[in-house]
Amino acid sequence: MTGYLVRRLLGTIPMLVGVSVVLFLLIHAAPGGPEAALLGGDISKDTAAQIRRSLGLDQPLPVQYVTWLGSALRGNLGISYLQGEPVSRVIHAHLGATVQLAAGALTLAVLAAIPLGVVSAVRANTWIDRAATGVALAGVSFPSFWLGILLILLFASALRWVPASGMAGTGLEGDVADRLRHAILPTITLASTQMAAFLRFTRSSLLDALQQPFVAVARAKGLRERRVLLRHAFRNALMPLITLLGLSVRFLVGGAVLTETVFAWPGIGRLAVDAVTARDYPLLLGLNLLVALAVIVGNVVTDLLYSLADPRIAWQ
Amino acid sequence: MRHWALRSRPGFGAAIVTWVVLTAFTLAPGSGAPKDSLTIGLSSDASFINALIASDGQSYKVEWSVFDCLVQYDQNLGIKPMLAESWESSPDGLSYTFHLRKNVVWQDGRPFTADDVAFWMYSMLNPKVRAPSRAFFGGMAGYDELTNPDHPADPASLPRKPVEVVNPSTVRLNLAYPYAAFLGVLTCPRGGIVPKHALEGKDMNTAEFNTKPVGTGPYRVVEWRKGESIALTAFDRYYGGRPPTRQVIFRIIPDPVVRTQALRTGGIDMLDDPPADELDKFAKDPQYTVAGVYTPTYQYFGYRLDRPPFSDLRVRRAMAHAVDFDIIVRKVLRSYAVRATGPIPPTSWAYTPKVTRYPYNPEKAKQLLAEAGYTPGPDGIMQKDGRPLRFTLKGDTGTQSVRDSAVVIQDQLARIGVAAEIRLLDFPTFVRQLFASDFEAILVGWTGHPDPDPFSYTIWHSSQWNGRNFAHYKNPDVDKALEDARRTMDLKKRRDAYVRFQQLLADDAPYVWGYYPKEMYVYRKELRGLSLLPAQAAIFQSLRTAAWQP
Repeated sequence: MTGYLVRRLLGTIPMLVGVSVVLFLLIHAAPGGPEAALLGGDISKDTAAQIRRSLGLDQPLPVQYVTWLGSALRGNLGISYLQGEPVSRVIHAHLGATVQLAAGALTLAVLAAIPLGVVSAVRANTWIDRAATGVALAGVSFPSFWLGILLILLFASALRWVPASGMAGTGLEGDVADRLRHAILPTITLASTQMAAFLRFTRSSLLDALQQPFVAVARAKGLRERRVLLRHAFRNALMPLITLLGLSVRFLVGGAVLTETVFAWPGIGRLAVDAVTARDYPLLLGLNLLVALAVIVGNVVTDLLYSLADPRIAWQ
Repeated sequence: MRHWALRSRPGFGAAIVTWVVLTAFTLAPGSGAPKDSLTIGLSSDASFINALIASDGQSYKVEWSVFDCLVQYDQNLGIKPMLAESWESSPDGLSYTFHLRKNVVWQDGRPFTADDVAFWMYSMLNPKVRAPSRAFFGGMAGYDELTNPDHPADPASLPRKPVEVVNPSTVRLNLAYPYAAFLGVLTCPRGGIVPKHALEGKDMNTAEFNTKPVGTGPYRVVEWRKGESIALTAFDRYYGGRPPTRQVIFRIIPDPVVRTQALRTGGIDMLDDPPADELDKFAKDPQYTVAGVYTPTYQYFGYRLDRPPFSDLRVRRAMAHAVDFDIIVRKVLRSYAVRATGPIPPTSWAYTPKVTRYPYNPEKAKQLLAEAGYTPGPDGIMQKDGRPLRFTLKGDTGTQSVRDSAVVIQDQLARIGVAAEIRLLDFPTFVRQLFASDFEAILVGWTGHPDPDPFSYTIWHSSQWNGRNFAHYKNPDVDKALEDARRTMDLKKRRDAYVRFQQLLADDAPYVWGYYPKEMYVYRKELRGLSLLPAQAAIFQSLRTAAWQP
């Protein structure tokens, strides 16, 4: 297993280089440039050309890429145009907020969706099932920015239970309870889409497993229904869920872009929006490579979880 | 089949929901800022807090409190002392000698001297420094030589230097020609002085200073959480006395709905850039003060003027009669704006209402198009020599008022047989195309300066085709008027020149003048001491006098 892991992780390097080439070309293919963000409307043709020259953007694209790659391989992802600081430092300053939000959302989604999905499968075609399916449908259907604003209007403005935005109140950055209250609405918003997907998957996988012959055999042997459900059916139903967990990384990052913007949550999702708006090429590349790396690592973790759920899977 | 095991324990989901609700109930929300603190909601973060290299409006809002300038505007847009306690100009108008305050210290405790002013000015003129306001200092002696991007001159080689340090508290700034707006361009926030000791020998564009600045202003930056908040605290050794409010915090809340709700729920005390549809509600609520001011900002519908169809004066006048900006002001701006008649707003001493106007009159527009040789084509679109009067109207997709106005303009032009195709672009793309003159028609605005010169000369003078005159306007009479206004120190003569300039422009109809929007703010009723100036975001200059009513 160790050898497999090392091989997989080494394999990420050429993959990341390939991803970086595609990203580099895509980012530079976008119209506009960083001069607008750097100088706003206070520019002229001459100053725009001067800025591009000072940033090295007057060089041919292959030269720009090789220069960037050379620095990146030495651990230097460049300087953010927007913030004038090393990209790694800028990302590091915002990563914690997104990890906190995504971890909370994933935990909430799993803890809420799996029991509901199990109940929904076991009580298929009852009102409980229909209610759970309705919740899932709503979760998938509501755009996260709309749901976020709705939650703010209801729980922050009308009921005054929780704050409307930000990570902490003024001067309360160290107050755990205050930070928790700030996290409630964005976590629910980000979790909603994932929760819906997990719920639907749990239900359909478990329904499918419950139809399998080994479940009938287990019941025929006189095992308790709870044991049949949890040890036999649910364990088999886990496989698609593990795949979904691996895939959820990219959905969580995608969702974070909107959720963080609505809730003024200072994570990498909002940073990405700002980087796109400012055409901050180094920061955009750094952020996209981080997401690519997270997806690759997510896939490796998925494979590991597969082996834990199904010992028949060998490491090759 | 019985499933007792599942019935016997509550679902985790239900438990989580219960926990969230209980948490919400048991944890009362914070009451926002304590009363020695003021929290302001901004729509986006600052880029750099360095008055020399940051040109975006959000950075300016913070810089007003961190950096002071040689001089500043008073309530009537007259010039009054700031870091310079007095000054005199030479009889020929080519030199200004400033006598600096002697009790000023930087926020790190070092004394402020004339060397700092010299360092700031040479940095402004250094082509390696990304100084967006450099063009405003085009009148400085040696400007062309010092700002040459390929071979910038050594100041020592200049026959006449732009800056002379007379002694630690006296500095002389030299001009190449009499420049009437000179004191105006020295004002904040563009004219914020930065310290020599903190920046000398460093790359100004990437220096750590830009996030941890040192100014001479009443507030210093204590913490900047990028994308989240900027915290300022009162500077105890400020030469003007410690400001009454101990702490000012700028919170970044991009979504306008959420920003508005943050004011209502106590998360912020002052709302910057409030949504127009919320203003009426706040105005009726006794808990809030709604304040507004007209600034030297105007929106317009413009075109490339050096090629058909808009090189024809009759077509331009037809456009002016065809577009009803009054209805845009009423419906889109909800009357938080007034119709514009030219580039100089009514708040300016140079403004004149006595200009040619083009009231909404579609029939007159059609008549003008007919005079220009246009006839209706088979598809109803006006055409001339087989070419339909069809063009693309570009704008910034990020601005709601632009999106709404574009649709109204398109509909109104269709009524006279003109086809405008709307193409909204994101800001970086739009700006690049703007300055490359890559457009037929545009819907955009200019944020001006309290002095009419910077944003008149650089937009309308024919020498500026590579600068802000991207519409490629050329009129020798306008050039002459702008030069006259720039080079005389006599205020009456300046005003006469600007009146002539406005009348010439109005006759020429180079734009359809849109409106002067009102800059609006909403803040808690108990907050006192804020004052509005007819200059962009100048309310932030008054944070130093803001105080909570006991």
